Amino acid sequence: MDDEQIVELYWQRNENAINCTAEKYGKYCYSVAYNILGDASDSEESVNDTYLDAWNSMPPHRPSVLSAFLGKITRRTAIDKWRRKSADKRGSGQVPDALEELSECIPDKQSVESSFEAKHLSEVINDFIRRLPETEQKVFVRRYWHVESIQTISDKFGFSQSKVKSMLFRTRDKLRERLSREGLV
Amino acid sequence: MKAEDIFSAIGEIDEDIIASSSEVKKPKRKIILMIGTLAACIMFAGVGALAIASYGGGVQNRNITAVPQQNSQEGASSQSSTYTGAEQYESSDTDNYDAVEDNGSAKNTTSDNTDDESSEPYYHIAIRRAAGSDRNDDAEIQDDAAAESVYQNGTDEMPDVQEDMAAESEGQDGNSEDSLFQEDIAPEESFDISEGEDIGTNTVSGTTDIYYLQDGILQSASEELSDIRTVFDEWKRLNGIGEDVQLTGTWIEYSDSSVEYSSFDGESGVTYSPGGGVFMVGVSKELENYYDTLDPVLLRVSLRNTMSSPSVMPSDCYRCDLVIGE
Repeated sequence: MDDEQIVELYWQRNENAINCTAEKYGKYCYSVAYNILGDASDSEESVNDTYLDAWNSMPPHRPSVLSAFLGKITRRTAIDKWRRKSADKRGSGQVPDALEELSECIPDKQSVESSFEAKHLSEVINDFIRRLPETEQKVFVRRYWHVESIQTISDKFGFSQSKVKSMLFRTRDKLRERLSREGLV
Repeated sequence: MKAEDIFSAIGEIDEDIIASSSEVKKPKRKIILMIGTLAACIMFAGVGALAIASYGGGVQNRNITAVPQQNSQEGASSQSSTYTGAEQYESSDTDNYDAVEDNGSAKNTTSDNTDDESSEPYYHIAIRRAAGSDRNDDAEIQDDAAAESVYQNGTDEMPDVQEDMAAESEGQDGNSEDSLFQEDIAPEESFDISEGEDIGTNTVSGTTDIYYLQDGILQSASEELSDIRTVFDEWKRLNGIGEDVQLTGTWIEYSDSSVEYSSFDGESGVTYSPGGGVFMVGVSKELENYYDTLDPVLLRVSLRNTMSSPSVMPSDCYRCDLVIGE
């Protein structure tokens, strides 16, 4: 079943939409959650939460790329769960490493103070990533959106781990410059 | 602004960017002969042919030189739960290297002349491809060491460190090995290997040690089996794993390595560096369904050790790796 048909099921409030979503994107959403949480049962929970959020989001949303839409929901849900878990103990998965790497882009430790600043940050980062060369873009997204490990990325692209790390380092450096130019850091 | 803010902001990028990141093509690798500086290469009488690896698929088509000799019971037993590729290369006698026949087939590597000190030394040149993904031997060693301690102690009480090792190896991305600024080993100058060689259902000769878990302890059983699928089925049976877990494929990948050579002129010592292939075994993701009932680290160790048996693993591979779910 293609994405359009699945989205239509949501719009028709047909409960079969969830089954179709699970069949087509269940594993994908699970892998997104697992990369963040590193725990099977938490990941399953995130995926189930994703289905519920998707049901509540469509309508009014009519996403053009359903996988990315669901992936975003899963990622948000998993990160929220990770935050709650990491309040008690150090979380597993790749998030701590990813955060440590991204902290190189910013000198200070203060949170964004306003929703305006947060929105501006999102726009800047979206534009920054869009302008990256194709391979750098994919590697960056797989590392910090999919939260895949360096080894997984190097296997997928056929690069050495050193090359992946170097590429990410250079991209983070560029991101830091861009954030600085925008006055965000 | 905190790193978490950036992390969250990255989550809101456009969906077409997210979708396109899923389309990943592995670049073809080019085989380029990497002949570094060679010390004097003198071939003594009785040495096999020099060959330059050309990859067309299938073990028989490759001209590979200098394969490690899988010899003697001691050598074979080193393939068991304490086996690590790096350790074997560091400790093995270089006289145990045999060249490969011109026709590409490996010489009989199960010879029993390990302890024959009067054997003529060989002079080998091996040319290896470069630019594969880095392999993290530490995780393998930790897995095997953890399993070995349980195997030897005969206790079902896992060492506390084992859980940490498992978590560390699963989450490890090579940080302990590679500096962020380490130069690549010429990734563009790599061999055209067409993403590895699928060796299909390779036959198995001789007795195979099948490793399995019983009451949380690693055990082994020796059996005469005919091919790798039968080995895998038997491994499943002994571990109580169902038909949902499938062997998805086997192939060989070559690790990062430049020219390796060893020379012997009767006076000087011999140098060599690890090379050879990594025997890849693909297993379906359903294996993870058994992680609740079977220790995942020991389970993977048991499969890796089984597939590392001399009767199963191709002779020019020094290690077995598992790929689960891909």
